[in-house]
Amino acid sequence: MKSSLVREFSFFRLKRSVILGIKSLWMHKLRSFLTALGIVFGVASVISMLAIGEGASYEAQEQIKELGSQNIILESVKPTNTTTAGEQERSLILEYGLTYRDIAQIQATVPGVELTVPSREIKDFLWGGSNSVDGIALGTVPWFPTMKNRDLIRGRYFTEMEMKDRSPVCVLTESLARQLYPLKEPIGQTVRMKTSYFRVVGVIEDDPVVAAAEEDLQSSSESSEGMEMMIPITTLEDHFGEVLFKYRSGSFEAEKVELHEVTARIEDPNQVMPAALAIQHILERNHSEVDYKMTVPLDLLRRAERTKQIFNIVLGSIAAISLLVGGIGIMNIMLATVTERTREIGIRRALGAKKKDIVFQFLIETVILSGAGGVLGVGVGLGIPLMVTYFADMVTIIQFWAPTLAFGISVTIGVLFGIYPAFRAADMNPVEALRHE
Amino acid sequence: MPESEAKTASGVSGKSTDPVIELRGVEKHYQMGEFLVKALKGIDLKILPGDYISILGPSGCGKSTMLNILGCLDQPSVGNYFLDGLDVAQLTDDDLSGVRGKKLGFIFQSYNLIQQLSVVENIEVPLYYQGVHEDESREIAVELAKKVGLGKRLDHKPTELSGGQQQRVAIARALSNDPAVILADEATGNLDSKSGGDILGIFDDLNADGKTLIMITHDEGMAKRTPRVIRLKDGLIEFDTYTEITK
Ligand SMILES: Nc1ncnc2c1ncn2[C@@H]1O[C@H](COP(=O)(O)OP(=O)(O)OP(=O)(O)O)[C@@H](O)[C@H]1O
Ligand SMILES: [Mg+2]
Repeated sequence: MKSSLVREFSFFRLKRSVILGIKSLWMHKLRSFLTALGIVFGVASVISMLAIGEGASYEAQEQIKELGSQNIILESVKPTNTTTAGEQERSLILEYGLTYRDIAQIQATVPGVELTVPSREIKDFLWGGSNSVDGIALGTVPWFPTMKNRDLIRGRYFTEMEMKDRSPVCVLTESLARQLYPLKEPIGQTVRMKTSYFRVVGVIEDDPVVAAAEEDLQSSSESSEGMEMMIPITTLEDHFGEVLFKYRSGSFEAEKVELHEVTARIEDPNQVMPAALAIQHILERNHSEVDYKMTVPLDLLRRAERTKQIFNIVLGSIAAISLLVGGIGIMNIMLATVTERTREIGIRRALGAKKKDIVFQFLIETVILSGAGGVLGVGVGLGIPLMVTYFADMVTIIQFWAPTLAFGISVTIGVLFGIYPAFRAADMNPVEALRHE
Repeated sequence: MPESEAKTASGVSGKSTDPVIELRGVEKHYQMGEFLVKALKGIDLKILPGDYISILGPSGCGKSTMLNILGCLDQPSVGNYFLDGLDVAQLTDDDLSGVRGKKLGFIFQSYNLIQQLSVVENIEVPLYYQGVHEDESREIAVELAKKVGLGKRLDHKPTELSGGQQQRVAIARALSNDPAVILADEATGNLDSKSGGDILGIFDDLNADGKTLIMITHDEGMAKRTPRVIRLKDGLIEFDTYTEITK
């Protein structure tokens, strides 16, 4: 009975203090609003920066994960080195890139290499029925989809038997299938490149990395990029030989590339980095110039995580500083308020207010100010990521704890920066305070 | 030691009427740079319950200083102040706040109302600090506002009231906790003679109800209405009706 009375009493007291605080703040509407604005921006920046940072790193990580975190991707790159110009003139065929020898050595010497996916590509027009498109014939292996995390949409992938038999079968990417056979069921149809015909056995989803990159670029006008026809690597060799002819800017160019791309999958995730080092050694030994490129998604992922950490620290500091500035603004205004209301404090003390009553009154006022700023800030902070997503088409992720944390910090700042002005108010001599003009 | 003194003091004189207020050799000093200003130079004073007192004296003689000490807003530099037999010097800051809130009521020359609060809310301030519940405190405040003739102005802000009306709010506020002693520092100083007279009428009624009333005034005519007059000069009591009679 008595304890409930006490509880009711303190609740009543709190309610009255809050009402009084709002009344006092309402006397100076503009000033209170401007003061709270400091906290609004602080809180909003904490929430939106976290959301944007989280979204950006999520997007980067997703893209890297698409590459496969256990994979090491090797690509042939045309050397930019001009010192070979003399040699080039002598032999008309430019020979560069990854070789079957590299692959054999990697498989033989690097421990834990589960599989390698060699692939070669030929760029030329692809014909399907009466439609044609600038595309790529990709010679590869049956386990390509598994390793590349690519889902089949329809039909099937080619089999090991078909690779062994050098069968003229192919699997089309979704966009290629749509280009060549927009109305017909593509499976069972044929696709032609140069003079060779291939029977379609399946449709596979587009390369997500290419698809994402394409969205960023202007248009899909000259995108042979996504237009891939996958055929057994053996079939490719049979039909198109080892040398590639290109007609470019008035002169023929002949290139010989054994393998355009090789993906190595390392069974033990912990062995990915050592394996990458070993592969690098082999390639350095076999190639006099750097005509290859090695991508380690796991390494990229780790770097992305490191970047995210740094990003978070930087954003966190910026947000903390803006909240600090907001807090100092509040303290400044509360000190001015205390001076301005010296007489009121004197009156209250004369009428029986204890020091702690005065402290409480001013502290409540500061907390109302920063709390209101915090609520507004949460609103703005939730709105900004939505706008960023809507207008800039960026992924933003608001973690549930971010608004809670930001609001909590704003109230804490109210208490911290309110304590000094409140105690200054309470410590005033009642007689002097009453005499204050 | 002051405590035992207090007990003997009330023990000796405490047969029928113990003084509600007793000053013994009270001095108040202010350090002004190199100079020590003595605003009060040794005041001995006993005030009995139900006394109705005017304090007179030239400007700067220490009237307000003495009233602030009586009101527990200030402490004597030298000497002792006993309120209800209790040595005020022994009380903590919180105790003093409690004494001001429960036993004393203040009325100031400049009204000193809180600007952001309405008439009722101003009257409720002392009740709030005593933890009186909302409904009860509202009831008391409304009743007091009616008593001082402001029943129709309950929700007005101080700036919407005349000086006389504001002072009546201040009186109602001073009465809200039903204090034993009311202290008024030139309560009518800012008012014309008509409103001043109204205020004094209220004071007369309060004293008739048994309240101890101490008021500072510059007006000899008003001082004539009170049974007891104290004249201060240069920080000392020059004349006190009480001592004149007991002589
Ligand atoms: N805080 C202070 N610091 C220094 N001197 C003070 C202070 N308060 C009062 N005094 C001095 O004490 C003396 C008495 O002041 P007090 O206010 O008590 O006079 P008073 O009798 O109320 O005068 P009035 O009739 O003008 O109100 C004055 O000389 C004044 O200058
Ligand atoms: Mg005075």
